[in-house]
Amino acid sequence: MSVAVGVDIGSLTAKTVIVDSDCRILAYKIIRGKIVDETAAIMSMRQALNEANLSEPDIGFLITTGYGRNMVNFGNKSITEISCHARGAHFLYPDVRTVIDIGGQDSKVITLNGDSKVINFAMNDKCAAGTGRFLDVMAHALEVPIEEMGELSLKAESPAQISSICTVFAESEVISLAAQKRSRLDIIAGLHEAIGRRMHSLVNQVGITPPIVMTGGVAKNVGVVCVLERLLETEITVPPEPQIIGALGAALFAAEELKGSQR
Amino acid sequence: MEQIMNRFRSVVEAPYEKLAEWKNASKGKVVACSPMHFPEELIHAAGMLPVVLQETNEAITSGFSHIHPFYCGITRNMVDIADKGQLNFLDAIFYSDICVQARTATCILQQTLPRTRVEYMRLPMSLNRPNASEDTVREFDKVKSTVESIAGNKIDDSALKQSIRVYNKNRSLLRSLRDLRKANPGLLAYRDMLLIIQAGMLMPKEEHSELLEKLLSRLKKGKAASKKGRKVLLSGHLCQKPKADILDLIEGMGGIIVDDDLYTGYRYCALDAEENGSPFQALVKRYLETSLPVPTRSYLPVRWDKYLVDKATANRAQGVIILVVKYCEPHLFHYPFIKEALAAAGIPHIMLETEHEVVSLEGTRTRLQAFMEMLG
Repeated sequence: MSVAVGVDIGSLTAKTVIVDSDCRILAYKIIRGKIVDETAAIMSMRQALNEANLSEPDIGFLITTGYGRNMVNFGNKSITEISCHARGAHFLYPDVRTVIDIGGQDSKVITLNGDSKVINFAMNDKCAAGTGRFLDVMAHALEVPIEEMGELSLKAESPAQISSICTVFAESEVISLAAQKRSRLDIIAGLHEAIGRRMHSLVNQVGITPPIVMTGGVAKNVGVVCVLERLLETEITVPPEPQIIGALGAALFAAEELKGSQR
Repeated sequence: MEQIMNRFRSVVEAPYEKLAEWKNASKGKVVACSPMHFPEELIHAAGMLPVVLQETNEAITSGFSHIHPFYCGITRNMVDIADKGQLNFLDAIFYSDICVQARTATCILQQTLPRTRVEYMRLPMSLNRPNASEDTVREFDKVKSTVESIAGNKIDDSALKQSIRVYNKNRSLLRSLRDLRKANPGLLAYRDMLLIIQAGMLMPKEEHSELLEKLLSRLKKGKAASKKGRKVLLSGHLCQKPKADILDLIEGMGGIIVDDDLYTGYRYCALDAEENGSPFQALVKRYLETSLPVPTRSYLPVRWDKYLVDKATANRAQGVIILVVKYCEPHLFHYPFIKEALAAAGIPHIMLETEHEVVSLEGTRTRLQAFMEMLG
């Protein structure tokens, strides 16, 4: 069996998606590591292959994406996560016109047409504040599991003002607010507001074209999604597993290559 | 060919050290001017070496005590290296009204370089107003007198005519190089193309032209593999040369740079001065009748947005890469109009903000690769 594989090597996680020639998802795997390198990427790929009862010789075409796409010594091709997130989101939601992706250290807003072709995009280029790493640091400072932050923020009564969005300074502010006995729920909600404001300005660079799909690990945080929906005044769709959309896009591109080579 | 390129590299890699060496060896005078409008021919005609101020890669340290961090890279860099004594060897510096920041830099350099004459040239902004010509003549005349007093001799018409010829020849050779590369982009990496232009701003024009002639004849004989990729037009950087890493990234991702409107690029060799008639009037005319879009001048014959759309169309560029120097207000003022015009013409573009301080190349790589993927 010849399958198409997409491997997304991010800053915090490595993700693999395997699809067959009909673009059916056979398996996917997300590996989180302190250092996401080639080993983590290979591990995610092998675990996904195992899950689908496949082995490496079954790989017909493999595309790498994500920030580490050029740092690994395997794969037939690399494509940016911008094109891959657009492709993956469009596969699941053909009407989508804007993709908001917040990953470990990058945030992106991508507009696309009906053929999943990227028309425009904006990306954070100076610092990684407001991304997954930012939330990681804050979760650690607040001693709250990161996966619980979203639900907790919805219970906040009055979100705190986090004036700075620099990760280091914001961490100081969070610690200071906690020392002032400000409720953790309000602090978390304040952090989500800060991320939302930052993303709002990135969205404005390319314009809002609904329907919007949010991808990346931060899309799992319902608090951030709610803030963004309020600020953008529109509904945001979150896929069941938003973290694999880049790898899915890469796998779909790989499937196209595979079909092309079999013709 | 490598020998010629090495000569150009040596001039560009340590510009002020090399110029100081040239001065010691030749006992000549070196006069620097800011980019864009200064008529270098006047300095040449007075028997001195005209050079264009160049940004260096040095980290800004002591200069911070003189200038705010929200000034552009080349302005902060000039103030910093002047403060460190690296410009002490210059006989004079002429700044011109390229932007508000240049005016501040002039004031600071006047204080930090007490033994170097630092002058400021102010030209009319509205090129079509009734007394624009009169004002330009008056200012160029003032510059001419200052240059004469620095040189210690008068500039006569025959010397100025000869300098115009020397400069026109150099510009013509650079344009030939550009045309040659356009026809066969594989002949020369864009980083080398801009390095050759930059070297010409830092060495005697006669030597630069001689080397260029040799280089051109070798390039004409050379064969480069035909290059396939996405055609892109480069725009921006009105004062300093873009970092070579960015040019390499563009070309490394299959981008073919078909043309540019950079200062260290097409702008530097685009406009000749007339060789017939009064040479002084020829310089005035070149300034007033510029066919290039200048962001700090109004009532120009051409708008920057339209110019870029036309240039991209003429070169069949699939996209435009706009390099904006951080805190370059004139460029940022025009960017919304450019963005709108390119969108209306259906020409995709990407804007990359560049800084004196090193910006993460990985982020730039992703953005550029995504842009190339977008172009199809």
